[in-house]
Amino acid sequence: MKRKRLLELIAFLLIFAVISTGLLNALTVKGTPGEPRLYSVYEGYAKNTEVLFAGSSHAGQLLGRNLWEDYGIAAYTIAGNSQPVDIMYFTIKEFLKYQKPKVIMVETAFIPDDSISEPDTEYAGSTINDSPVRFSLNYLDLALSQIRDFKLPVKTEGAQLVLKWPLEHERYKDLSKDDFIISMPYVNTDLEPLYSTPDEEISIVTTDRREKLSDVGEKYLNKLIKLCKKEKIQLVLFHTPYPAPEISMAQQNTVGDIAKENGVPFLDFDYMLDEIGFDPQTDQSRDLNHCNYYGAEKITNYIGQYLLESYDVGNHRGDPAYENWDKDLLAYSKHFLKQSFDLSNDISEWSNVVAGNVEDFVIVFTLSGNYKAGDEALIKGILDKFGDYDEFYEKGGTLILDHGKVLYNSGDETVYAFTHKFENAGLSVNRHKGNDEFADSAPTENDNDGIYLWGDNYIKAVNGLNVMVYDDELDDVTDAVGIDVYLSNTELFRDKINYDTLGE
Amino acid sequence: MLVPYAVLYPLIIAVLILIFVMPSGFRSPFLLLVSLGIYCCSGTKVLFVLPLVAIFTYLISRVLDRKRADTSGKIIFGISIIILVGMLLSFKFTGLKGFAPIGISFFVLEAVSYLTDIYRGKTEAEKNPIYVLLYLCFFPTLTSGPIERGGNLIPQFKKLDKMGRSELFDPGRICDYAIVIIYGMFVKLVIADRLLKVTDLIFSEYYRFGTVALIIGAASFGFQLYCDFMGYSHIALGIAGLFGIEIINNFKAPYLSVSVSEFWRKWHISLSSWLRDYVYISLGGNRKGKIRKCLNLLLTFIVSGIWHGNGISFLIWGGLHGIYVIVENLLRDHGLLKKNSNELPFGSRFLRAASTFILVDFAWIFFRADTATAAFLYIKQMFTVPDFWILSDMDKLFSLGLDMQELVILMLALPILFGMDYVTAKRDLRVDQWLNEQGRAFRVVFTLAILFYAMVFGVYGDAVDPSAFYYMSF
Repeated sequence: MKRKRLLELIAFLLIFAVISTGLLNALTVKGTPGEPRLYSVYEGYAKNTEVLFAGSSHAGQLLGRNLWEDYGIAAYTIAGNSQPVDIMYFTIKEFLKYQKPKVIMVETAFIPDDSISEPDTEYAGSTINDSPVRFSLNYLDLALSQIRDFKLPVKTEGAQLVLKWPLEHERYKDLSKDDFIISMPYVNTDLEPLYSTPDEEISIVTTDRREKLSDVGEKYLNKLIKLCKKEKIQLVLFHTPYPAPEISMAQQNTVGDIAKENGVPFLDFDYMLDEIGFDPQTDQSRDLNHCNYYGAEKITNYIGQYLLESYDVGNHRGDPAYENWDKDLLAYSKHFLKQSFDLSNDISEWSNVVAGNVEDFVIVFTLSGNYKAGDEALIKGILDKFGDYDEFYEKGGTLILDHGKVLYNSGDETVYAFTHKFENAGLSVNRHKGNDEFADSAPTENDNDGIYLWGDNYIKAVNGLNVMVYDDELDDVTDAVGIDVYLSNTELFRDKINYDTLGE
Repeated sequence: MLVPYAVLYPLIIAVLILIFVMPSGFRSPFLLLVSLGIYCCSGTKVLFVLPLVAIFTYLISRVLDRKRADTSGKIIFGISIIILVGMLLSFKFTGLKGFAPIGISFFVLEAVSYLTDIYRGKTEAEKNPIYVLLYLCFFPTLTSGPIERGGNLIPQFKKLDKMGRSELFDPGRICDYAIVIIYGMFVKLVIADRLLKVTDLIFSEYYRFGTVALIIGAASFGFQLYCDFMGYSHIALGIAGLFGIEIINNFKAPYLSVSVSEFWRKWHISLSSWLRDYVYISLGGNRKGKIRKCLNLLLTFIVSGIWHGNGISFLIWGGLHGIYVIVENLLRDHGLLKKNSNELPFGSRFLRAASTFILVDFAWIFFRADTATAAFLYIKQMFTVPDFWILSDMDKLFSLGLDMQELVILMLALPILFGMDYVTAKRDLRVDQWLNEQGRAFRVVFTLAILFYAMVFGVYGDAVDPSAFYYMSF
């Protein structure tokens, strides 16, 4: 009896462990491209990283993929918005458990942060940033350090921080598809650079003064230097330019002094504006805090050359071991393409852009309702750009082009359902009743046709052509539009059309 | 609980291991030290009252043991009860209120019952002070009961000190009581603390709601309080059980009761039996005629109201229950209510249980409202401001504290509560005892299901203190 109960207990604990692991994976913060994407590191997407970027969003705004494109340097970014210095240190430690880069580039804006001495504000930020770090000895070290550094009450916040779960379980409210299947896991730096420029006249003030760093900041800077020495990894500190107050500049000078004492290079771009051709008026973003795209490009280029000349990194383009960086670059180019889709509001311009990229996407066309009413040349003209689909136009229904080739054509079927599983997603199309019958009932919205992906229906127009552009490589719906022959000859509809509510 | 779960459970595991490895005779003293240690960490303002009451109780019990037959014994007993009750009343109703130590309402009643039982000759006075101190300070029961009897706990502490290691580490017993804890956590974190959002909103802003919303608020409080207190009682029972100490099962599906009298036999059993034994019977019980019996019942329930709180609303709450029970007795005496409720067919039982719930829940309004005036206004509003249309206005319905997602989580949990109450009440079993009859696979699956449900959907974390229980404020 006792033995059977023990076996039952063991079975219970085993199942508990398996389900708990799955739950933890689902509930843990995966990180957006603006946050430390440790989850992707755990999943193996940082394999073969040569240069690791860490620090605040100032590091995140740099264009790591330019290093790959221009120099073949495999750089991975685990920077996070306002990442506190302790989190940065433990995030780097966590990264090193999985990968050993040759160089770690640490952006220093948050190292001396004075607000670190105010436990309340700092702690609130810290717990969010803690989340991507998996429960481990390193995590426990992080939690206990925070309890010590910020004098957190052990019985309440402290205990919750150590156990991690009490702070994470509430994510059940916000779970999304990305918590189970991460789209673009290989994207390793921010997809959304800033393009704005300052609204006012600005200048970057430098100083010779020295100002004390916060105790926590200095402690973790020294720990970081020690860690890199121990791991035999080259540490490089850098500071991106922005119109910071003089005291911050003075603190950066202190960071520079500590770096010098320890033989660590410190690239303070505030003092290198002319060298890199950085003009704050055109290269700074409107927030007066981050570099914009053009500024980031200049700094990244400088860093690329510096790394190539100083360390044994780079020239890995075309090497299959680095395919994640190729995917990241592809994701970025498609992201730009998506923006160009979004910016095309005219039917003719939009169809030219989509047809020009037909080989890169899965494109679903559904002809709905009285699509033949109105100007015949409108819809036929669009389809002609993709090939000879006169027969499809005549019969109506659904046509799916998979990278330019016909994957499905409903043909003579008046009622149909078709499903195809791509690498990550299942795409389904269907029609409930014959199109003529549906059109005769004078529908106010299209509930007859379906273009389903992950449970969402991308049908927009009632009478006309519905087009959904799906990127199966990135598992991303690039665009979905409706062209309604009764409503406009030029306008694209990206929201579902409901005749009842039109004009409200 | 006296300390957060995040501290309590690791601590219990550590204490269990230490108790297992230490020489057997040290177990009770060690448990006493742990109990006092936890009490010190609980943040209670006045630490000395509990040990003082415990030492006082021990000393008086030793005197009473020798002198219970004498007049001096009677005087000593009377004075000691007056001191204990007077101290309790002082901490509850005078300027000392803000300094009331946590659990005072519970350990004082335990002290009174211990001394009374010795005086009445029902139990022997314990010679070893450690056991008496541990009886009053035992941490699982310290904050919110159950109100244990010395005659039940003290022999078990003695047994614990003699228990062999194989008996102490009985996987069957440990697993059973762990299940009881998990079930307690499930009802507390998933149901009680979720309903708390509805209750708090509606009771604090009752003036802006109408009939339906206020009925929802009252029903919500009925279940919140039940799951909160029943959850606590299960956790306490489970923790004590891990140490081989069996404490009273404080709840036996009270909302399935077919009368208010039956409700009080199944709700907060340790308090109602205490009131029966030490107040109702002391007043003469039912031995002095029908009118005195009614009066005694009313007085007993009023004492219960006073014990719960110091506002008029608690007096009304106690009085209402007294009236309910008196009316039921009268109806039963005149043959208008069946004496043996077991003879009732299912339909009748269902209707009677529903009407009992309505009566009890109506009285809860006085229990929950901030003041008696607020309770009367709540009831007035409930009967005079119709808002039946909110039942078909989802936006309004989901603005009562729980959105759609939270409501679905709650609705999936409630059948487990009702189902478990139904199957356990039918045969007077505890949750673990019922599960023991359902096969190993079901037991594992059920326990894992409620454990994960509580872990994921429980209301706890940064902004909430799930280790706070409603009855801790009494």
